[in-house]
Amino acid sequence: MNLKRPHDELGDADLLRLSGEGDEQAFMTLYRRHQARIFSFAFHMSGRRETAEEVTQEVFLALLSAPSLYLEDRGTLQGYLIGVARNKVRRALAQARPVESPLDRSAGPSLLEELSRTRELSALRSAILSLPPNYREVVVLCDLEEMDYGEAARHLGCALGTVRSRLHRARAILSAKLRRKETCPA
Amino acid sequence: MTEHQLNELMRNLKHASHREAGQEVEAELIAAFRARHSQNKRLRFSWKQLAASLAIGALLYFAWSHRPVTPHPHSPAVVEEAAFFALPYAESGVPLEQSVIVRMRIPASTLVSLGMRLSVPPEKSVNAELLVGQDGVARAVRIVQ
Repeated sequence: MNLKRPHDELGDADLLRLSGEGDEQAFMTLYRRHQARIFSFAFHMSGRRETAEEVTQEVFLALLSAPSLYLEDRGTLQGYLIGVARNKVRRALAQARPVESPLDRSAGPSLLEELSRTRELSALRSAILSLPPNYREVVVLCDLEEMDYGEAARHLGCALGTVRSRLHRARAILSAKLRRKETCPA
Repeated sequence: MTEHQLNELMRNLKHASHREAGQEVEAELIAAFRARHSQNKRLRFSWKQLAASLAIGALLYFAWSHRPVTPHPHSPAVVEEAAFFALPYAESGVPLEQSVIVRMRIPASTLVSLGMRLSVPPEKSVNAELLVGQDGVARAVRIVQ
């Protein structure tokens, strides 16, 4: 009887241990389990696909080279990875100003609607990228990654009230910027 | 812009954005993983080799230090047992490997001056054997009865 469980059924801690023992499948299962969120966070924070991919790669390379830095009793692996990604994104942002990247085009109901929608989303993305990093982080985590406030507070290492107030302020700034865009589209 | 409109836009942005890293990232990570673990295997192998070498070395040292000693007739230890008297200042940097014994008559006073105790008067000569090393240096002397 085979008592070995498929990798997909294993928890992060077990996968990390197996990965440390040289189990490539375990490492790649961890990567596939968490990469989308890391990538998405880095992408929304930087506005660049290339930066997001670099950050994602660096985050997992860091996990590969120093898995012992993650302490299970201090939080989830995903929280730890987002923390690493956060530092790397900040470093990347300090080196180069984020540039707005074109949105993925998906088939819309009509070209005009699609164009209008794309313009709106582009304006929102620009507005998010123009936020100070502290505000941008809470918008990305809470609004785009749909993380609850408590989880976001843990990831950001701040109080829940701080997350709430930053998010409130950030959304007010975004609304104001988008209103200005509506009134002066050029 | 209302709160509702902003929420709607956020949702759209979330779905319109790139959601995953490309295949290149995955390929790079697989390569890095393999490189790292093949290096670890090599290191583990080296440690095994080192441990084995140390164990063999310790075994050889143990065997050498506990080997049975067969006395050499001309070794310094034998000199003592055969009542050879080591000559002062005759210590040579060259180990005693080949030696010759030279029998000769030596004035008792000379031997006394070397520190030997003799029962013969100092003005007489006695038969003695000199142990001479391969470097020509006399190492020890003994009285021949």
